[in-house]
Amino acid sequence: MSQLLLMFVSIAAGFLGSLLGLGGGIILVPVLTLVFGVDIRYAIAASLVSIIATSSGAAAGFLRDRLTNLRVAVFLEVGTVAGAITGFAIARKIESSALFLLFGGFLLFSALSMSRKREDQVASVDHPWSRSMRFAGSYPNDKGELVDYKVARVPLSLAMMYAAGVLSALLGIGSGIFKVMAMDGAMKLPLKVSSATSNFMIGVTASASAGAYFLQGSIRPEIAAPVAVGIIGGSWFGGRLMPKIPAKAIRKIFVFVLLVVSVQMILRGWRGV
Amino acid sequence: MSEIENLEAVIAKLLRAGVLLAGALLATGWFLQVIGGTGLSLGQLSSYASEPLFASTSRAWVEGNFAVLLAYAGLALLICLPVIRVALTAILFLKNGEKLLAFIAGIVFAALLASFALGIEL
Repeated sequence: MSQLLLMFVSIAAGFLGSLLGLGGGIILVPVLTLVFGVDIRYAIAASLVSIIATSSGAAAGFLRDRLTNLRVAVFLEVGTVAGAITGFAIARKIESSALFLLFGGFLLFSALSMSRKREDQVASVDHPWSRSMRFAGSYPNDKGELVDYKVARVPLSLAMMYAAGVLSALLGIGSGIFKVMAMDGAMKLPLKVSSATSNFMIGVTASASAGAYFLQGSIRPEIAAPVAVGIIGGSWFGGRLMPKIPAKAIRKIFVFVLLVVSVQMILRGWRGV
Repeated sequence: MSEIENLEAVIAKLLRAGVLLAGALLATGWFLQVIGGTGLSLGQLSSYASEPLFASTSRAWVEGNFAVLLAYAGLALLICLPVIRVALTAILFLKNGEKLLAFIAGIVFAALLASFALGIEL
């Protein structure tokens, strides 16, 4: 019965996630631990599976829209996968209460960065690494015109991706927020391009640690099955209804919810679970 | 459409089909587990006790518990999808004559396999 309820919650998480452009992890881990009372390690492992489902399912659409920069994605995946390996190694040694504290801190950070306005920045010079790997490209803007862009500060972005990978494996999130920051903040990619490329990358990052958690036995089908089925359904609906829903209003409510949940996660960690 | 774009589209379609197949396997496994009364309730997973995948699947095999095996197959497929994507991307770059990017995709592929291996307790 509770599994059926979990599936409906996951449908909602997938729906909201695709609407707001974030993976379900940020919603699923708190719900699984605070509402369903599941151990945070199981919650993190199950959440990673749902991230793979969202990212892989959405890849078709992003590639079709010519927004994903496949070259940048493959290069930066070196950083995220290396980070994920580190994250998995740390996760084995760390206490559950520390995971709650870290997750709470991450939610707080996410809420703050979601409420900030992002603006397109333009790189005037192409970084040497970008030149040798031909990262620069073009994307269709709102009017459908093709706009050229260059790519800056590639090494900084790679370092940020490593950190994003560590957090992903440790907390069971896609850490799309960090990836987007590394791409539009550091590399100065257009916002649309960095969002699409991030969504494309999170599946690979998540699978690095998900594979390890899976072989270790931390991914329980009792949790992962309803979660994955729900997320696949929910994100499909979300993608269909996206144009008809006021995403801005939902975003504001969601930031408030994140703040409340963040406090609860931190309190839970503070009390030692 | 160029050959590369064609390949990209094929990869994307393959991924989506893979997600749906994995979802179907998980849903069937889960359904069979519920009607068969096997598997744990969420309440029983409130404290962590991991058992290596190899141990739980071989036990399910001996017991003839196909519901669990189906669910595990769905999970395995889902987790492998991004790995397959990276491998296909490497081939795509190689076909395009871009050796450096093909090499980088190869590194990501190897790192993913190494990461999986970390989950095996020795």
